[in-house]
Amino acid sequence: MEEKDIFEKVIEILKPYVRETEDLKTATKETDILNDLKVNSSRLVDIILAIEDEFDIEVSDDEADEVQTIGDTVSLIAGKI
Amino acid sequence: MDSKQAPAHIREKVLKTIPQKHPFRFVDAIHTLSTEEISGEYKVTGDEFFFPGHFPGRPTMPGVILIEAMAQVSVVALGIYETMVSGGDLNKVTLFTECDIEFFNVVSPGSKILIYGKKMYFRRGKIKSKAWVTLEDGTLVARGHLAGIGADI
Repeated sequence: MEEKDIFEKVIEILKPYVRETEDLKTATKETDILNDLKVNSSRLVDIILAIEDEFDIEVSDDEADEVQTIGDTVSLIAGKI
Repeated sequence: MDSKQAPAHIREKVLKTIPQKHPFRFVDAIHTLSTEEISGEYKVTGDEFFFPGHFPGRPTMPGVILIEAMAQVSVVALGIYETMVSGGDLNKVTLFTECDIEFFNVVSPGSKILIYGKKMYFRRGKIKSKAWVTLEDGTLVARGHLAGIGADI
């Protein structure tokens, strides 16, 4: 799977958790999930679980702690599939 | 997956560890407890602080208090037990993060409500559970899901 496809899937996964879905239209790999998209930090667990289900991978708590941007998320996934 | 039932003294310890106390405690007993499921009860005495205002002359248990009762059982108590079993930090307080609850019937003073929880996940200090409340005769009062996360406050 190309990174572009992973990026699009990540955007879909984030949709239910962002404050404004409009913000996802201009999101880039540098977009910060908590600060730019105003995702509630308690929802990161739900996002990680959704990523694990979507890509059939396992993400450790330590790996999840390192994720800040959409690009971090895409790289993490790309390294596991 | 450990679905072994916790013995009575552990259920009592979990109950005592719930940080919410009178007049904001809405669980009197835990009947069943495992790392997957929990059930408990609360007797609505009619002396609760909110009845004079909700509603004058027509005391009705507020939906937000029913949600609190569901949270105290399915999120707080189940989360405490999960934390005990996994050797986590019991000094953290479980803060409510989100819920989606539907109501089906009202609860009046004198009723006993039965509260049930089934874990959806417990991860990174966050617990999410399906929960439902019935009257003693099985009448469904509320159902939905709730989540909370352990925090230092």
